[in-house]
Amino acid sequence: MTHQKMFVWCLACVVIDQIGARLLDSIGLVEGLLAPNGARLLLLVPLSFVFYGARLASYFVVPGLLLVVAGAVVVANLRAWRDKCACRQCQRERSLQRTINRASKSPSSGSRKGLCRLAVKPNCAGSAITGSSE
Amino acid sequence: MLACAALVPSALLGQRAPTDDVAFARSVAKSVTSGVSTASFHTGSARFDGEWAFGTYLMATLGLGQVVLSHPEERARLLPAMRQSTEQLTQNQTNAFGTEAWGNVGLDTLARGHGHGYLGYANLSLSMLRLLEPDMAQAKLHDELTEALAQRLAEAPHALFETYPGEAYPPDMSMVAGSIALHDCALGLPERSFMPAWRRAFSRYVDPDSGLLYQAADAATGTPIGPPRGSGAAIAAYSLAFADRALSERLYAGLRRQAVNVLGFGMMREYPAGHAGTGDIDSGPVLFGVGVSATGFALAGARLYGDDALFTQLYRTVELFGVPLGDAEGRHFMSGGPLGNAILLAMTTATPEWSRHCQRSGS
Repeated sequence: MTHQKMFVWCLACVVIDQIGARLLDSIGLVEGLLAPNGARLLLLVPLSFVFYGARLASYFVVPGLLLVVAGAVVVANLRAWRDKCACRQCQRERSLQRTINRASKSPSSGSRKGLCRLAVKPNCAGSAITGSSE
Repeated sequence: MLACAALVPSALLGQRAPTDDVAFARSVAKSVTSGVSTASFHTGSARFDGEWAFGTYLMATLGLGQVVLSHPEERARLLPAMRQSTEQLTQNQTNAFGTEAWGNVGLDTLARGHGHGYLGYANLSLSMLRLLEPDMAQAKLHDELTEALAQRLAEAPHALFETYPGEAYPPDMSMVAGSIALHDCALGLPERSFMPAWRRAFSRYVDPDSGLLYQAADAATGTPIGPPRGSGAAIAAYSLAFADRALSERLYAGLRRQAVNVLGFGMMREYPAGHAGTGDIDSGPVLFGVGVSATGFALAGARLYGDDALFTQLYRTVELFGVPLGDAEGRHFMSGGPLGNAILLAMTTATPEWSRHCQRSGS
């Protein structure tokens, strides 16, 4: 399940918990369950199962899932930020190298080239966070 | 995920606001004044439908009275609902379940009658109203009922008389004793002479191993019938607090051992170790050994004896499955229905405050 789907599922549980409580209250859950009326039971029993399932999930599962989703988003952003920093560092080093090269008319060192190759990733030209171009 | 499941729900639920009791009481008052009858319930048994309507008025009166004791500013708003509830409790229609069982109207045969032990519940309600309103309209009936119940209790050879023909229940006798004690407290009367002996005799119905109260017994021989139960012990711990705090506390201590804690959510086992059952009309559903009534009634003992930790745990469970909702009057529990809400009001507002309102000094 993707993080977006997880988030939507969590939201659905919370919404069903909040709205379902009002709905079941207005149609009389207890009175309906006590009344031996088949048609009403057919409506109330599945509704109460869904409601209590969502309510239990809202308290016992949703907080943990939200933490997982939030953690994943934070990690993704940290990685993107790290890449962005590395990218900027690399660009600065390249720029510095070009300046040095132009001044000394000498070829750049292999180690610096290696560093840039490591740091510059496919998304180096854009940020994972903002999507803006560098 | 597991850490969240263990920590977050218990942090979110069980936190009661100081205004919760008042909001809840207003909602219950509205519910009982708009009318509750046997037609509101469909248990499949006319007796149980009647008992549930009776129980709704009974618990509403007790709960509303306790809220008035703790919040005197609510008196004018809540007292009319208490009067209406006690009025309903003494109607022939509300007592039809007892009339059908005995073949006579319990309230019409007070002086020369016997049995009708369920009337102790109505009498406790009347006593609660009497405490707040000594000149209440039903004062004469209340006095007559109390005298009749006191006489039956004093004459009972084994500390209990029958609720229905051939059926006697120690928890019902705790109600009878509590109702007499609260009546006498409201009027400034001394303790009845038979009460010390009754207390000693009644103690036989407390199981020495579990500390719980036997749910049923033979009135003629005093022999307990069936296992001791959590629901009976819990309601008796509440009602006996009006008559004998030490015995009530002893029952609560036994009940406390029945507590189950799952991730901070408290529940009470209905049966002690070595016994099992699926529950009945008194216990409500029993799932995995945990009783609904025992859990709800235990709130009162926890509150009366300052067991805040257990109260919070039990209240979390009530909030999780009861689903509190705000309404135009205040707040109520979605899955409680009239009876469940009235019981929860009475149990969550249980207070020793009544003893400060006794007419006699030093009580």
